[in-house]
Amino acid sequence: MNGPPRLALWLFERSLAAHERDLVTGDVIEDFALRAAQSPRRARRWFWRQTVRSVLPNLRRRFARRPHVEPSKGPSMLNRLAGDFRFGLRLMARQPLMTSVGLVSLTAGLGLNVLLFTIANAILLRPLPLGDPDRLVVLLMQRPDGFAHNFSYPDYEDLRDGAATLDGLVAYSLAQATTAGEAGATAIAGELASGNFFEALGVPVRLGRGLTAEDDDPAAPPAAVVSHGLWRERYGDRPLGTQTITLNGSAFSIVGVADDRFLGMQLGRAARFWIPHAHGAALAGGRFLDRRTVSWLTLVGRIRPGVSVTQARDELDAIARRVFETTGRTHQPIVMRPGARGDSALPERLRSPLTVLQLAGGLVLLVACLNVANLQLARTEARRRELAVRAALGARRFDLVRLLVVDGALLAIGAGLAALGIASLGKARAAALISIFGEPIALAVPIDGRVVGFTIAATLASALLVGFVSAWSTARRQPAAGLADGRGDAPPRRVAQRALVVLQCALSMALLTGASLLARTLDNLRSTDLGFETRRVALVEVSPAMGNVAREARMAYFEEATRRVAALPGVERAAAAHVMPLDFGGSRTTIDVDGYRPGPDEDLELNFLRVTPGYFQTLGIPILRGRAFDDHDRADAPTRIIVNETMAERYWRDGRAVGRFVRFTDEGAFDVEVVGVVPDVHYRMVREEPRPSFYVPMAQMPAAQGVLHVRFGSEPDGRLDELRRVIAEVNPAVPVMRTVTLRQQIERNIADERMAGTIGVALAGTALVLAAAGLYATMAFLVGRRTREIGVRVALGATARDVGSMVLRQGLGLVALGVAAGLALALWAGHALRAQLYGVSRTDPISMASAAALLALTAVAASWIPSRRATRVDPAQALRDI
Amino acid sequence: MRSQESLGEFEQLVLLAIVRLGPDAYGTTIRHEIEERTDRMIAVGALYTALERLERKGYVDSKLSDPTPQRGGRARRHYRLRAPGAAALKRSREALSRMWAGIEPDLRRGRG
Repeated sequence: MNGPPRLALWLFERSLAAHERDLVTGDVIEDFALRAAQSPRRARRWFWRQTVRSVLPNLRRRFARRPHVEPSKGPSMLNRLAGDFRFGLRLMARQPLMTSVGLVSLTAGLGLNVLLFTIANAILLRPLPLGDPDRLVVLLMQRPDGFAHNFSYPDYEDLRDGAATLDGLVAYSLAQATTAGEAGATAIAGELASGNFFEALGVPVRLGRGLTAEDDDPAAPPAAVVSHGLWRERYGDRPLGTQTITLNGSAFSIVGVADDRFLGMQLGRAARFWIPHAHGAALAGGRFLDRRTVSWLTLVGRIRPGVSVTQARDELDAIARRVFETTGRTHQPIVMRPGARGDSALPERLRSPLTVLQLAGGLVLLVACLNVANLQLARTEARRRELAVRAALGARRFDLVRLLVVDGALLAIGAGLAALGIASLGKARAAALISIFGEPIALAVPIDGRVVGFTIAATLASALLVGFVSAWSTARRQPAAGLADGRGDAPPRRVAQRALVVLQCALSMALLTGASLLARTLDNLRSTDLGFETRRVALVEVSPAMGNVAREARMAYFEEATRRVAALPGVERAAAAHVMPLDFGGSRTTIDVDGYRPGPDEDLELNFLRVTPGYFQTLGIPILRGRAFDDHDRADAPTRIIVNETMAERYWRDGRAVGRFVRFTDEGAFDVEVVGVVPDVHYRMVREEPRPSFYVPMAQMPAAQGVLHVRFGSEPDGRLDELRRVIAEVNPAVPVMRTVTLRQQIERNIADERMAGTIGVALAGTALVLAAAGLYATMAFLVGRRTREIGVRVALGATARDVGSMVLRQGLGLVALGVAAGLALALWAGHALRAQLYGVSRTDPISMASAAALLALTAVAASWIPSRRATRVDPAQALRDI
Repeated sequence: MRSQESLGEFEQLVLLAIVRLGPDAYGTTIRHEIEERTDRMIAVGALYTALERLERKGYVDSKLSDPTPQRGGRARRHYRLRAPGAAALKRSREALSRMWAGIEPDLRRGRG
């Protein structure tokens, strides 16, 4: 005879406690035997259905604690809590829809926050992987107009040798070098470091040794430490032997491999080699070691234990004062900043946007918590009788509140765990939104103790918030009232529920307005007229200096490169400049203008750009007055400059700049003549205020590197490889550093704003969906509670349309209240975002109106189904339910 | 008034089935009785949950019988109504009757 399905039987038996296993299984087996005699197939199907439907009740029975009348002492708090947790779990299993909606809401809120914090942690909080990083300080000099971050090498030596309060003072600078690889010459990033760099900072080394003071001696053999990444690419994981690396044509023997946690001192930039200053002349772009006037080193010191930062600062300041006075320079006070994260620009730049986004994330979490609290209210409604019975049996109000808080905590714990999962899955994608000066960031984004701590804190806060909001609005009622059965109104709770929806809408209003401001900012940046042609232009950055092209031969190199690309089919014009446009940087030099008296703190250090003839035509920049550069502006001709409009207007009030002279004061004073005026352009960044700047013929001031600007007849996206190849052929030793279109370069330039906009829209969208869900649940609940009333209305002659629009009006009314309350919050959001905005007022009415309109649409959508349901209320049915 | 728990609908069905079956009331027969008379499927798990609750409230008691071959040698537990259970059933019925009094004609006409 065929028995019952074995898997089903197994499941069935496992779901039962030992003491009733025989008994209950006996029942189904007996029944199965009766049924199998008629139709084995149907009997098996029946057995499966029984199993599926019995497993949950069986399990509940098995794991239920017998509730018993509590003895006067009562069980311990811990026991009671454990009981509450078990009870909460069982309740959740019984209401899967509500549980999953609550879980999804909280997971979305917590997940976004943990993700944001993971990124903020990596950039703003996490120290570099150095030994005892809290004792590290960065040295700066206070200047009238800000801080000087760099020191000269002789000054560094004096400070290092004189400091008794430091356990070491290191100097480093960022460097780039070409190295021969499989794909021809490539440029790689690295750092020039003082000999004590590895030891004093406690840099973790994986193989071999770090650099030492002996390596930092011009007479020593050139040594290099390379990154673990570079080591793996070149040598697999082979042991360290006599390998060498060639940088800018010089061979360095590899003496060590840094640990893969260490990516260099500049957050977000992956250094691949470290070489001592003594051997860095070829990389630093000149011999600066003996020049006090060239400041290029970042200084990081390690404070000796027992010494305060103030003591160390005072000592170094005294040394600096002495050094500066003996060398005839004005002393500038030394300032110390925490050095655990090096002296990176990234945290400074992203602190404000990341903080604002984290705050916005907090608002989204708040919306999510309110959502869950709202659901809990509806659930509490369903549990009214249970709670009333508990109260009647002697449960104190505190016990009831505890029960509700435990409910919230259970949801929050589940959501917190899920949030950590979201963060570890999404962190790489989120980090990819961040760039450093347009370059993709190289950053370790770990889920470390700080992230876990944040998650726990946020989870706890959400649990308490959810629990107390629902407990608050429940506990205010006389619990015994719940014993009276029926569908009486429960006014306080309805008010509480509506208040939660209004609050959710208000928060969403602020988030939507903020997101809209960020989106409009991005839009404005994209459509900003930069003052030059941005379409159809490709840019190729090359470094003749790295390819060992002599200074005198560089102009010829650029002319040849320009000539070759101009001959390509589809190319309209080509020219070169020495700095990549929209790359945030540029060269500066100090000038003097006869007859112009600068203000007290006015800076006469101006940006300038070296360009080849044809530059203005290539980029479509019109000549307003005077002339463009031409082939007569050669190395042996007198130096000429072309100034921008702002410069022309500021220094020559009579409006006649052409024909006037300015004096270059940096490298031996000499006068240069202004031959033309061009409009202001946004050269370094899209969001750039007009500042005085000027152009110099490249032939007269040869540059170490340059950028070919190539204008095509159509968008050049598909032709970048061809360009790279043609230019690499001009001189194979010269590395092609970057090939991009001007459009791509603009997008990189506004990467921060794009990040803020993307995250902002994601946050606001989440908030909107959550608020919509909250509104829907509330409206559905309210319609459910008003079934009888609606029935009466219909019985008295109200049409379906009347009823539907009544519900819609109620939903819209709630949202309108939320929008009104949210206006104040939206103004605050605009205030918090003011530093990020561009071309849009922080009280932008369009942003606020569109946020309000979006919320109104959401209100209609969320109230639609409940209003349809209201119109279908059958008065006979509704009244019978009394 | 003493706090008296009212019976749920399913509990009433189970208690009534036990009364109807008399000495023959155990899991399978109770289930069949309800299934046949109410035309709905009863999950074994749900039934035992209700039986356990009723026993805890003192409405029914039970005793184990000898194992039988139809049940693969497993024992069965027979249930019997106790006085408090009978009282609870009566209360439920009275409450319902009072509520129903006089409204059946209305319902038959299909109005509330």
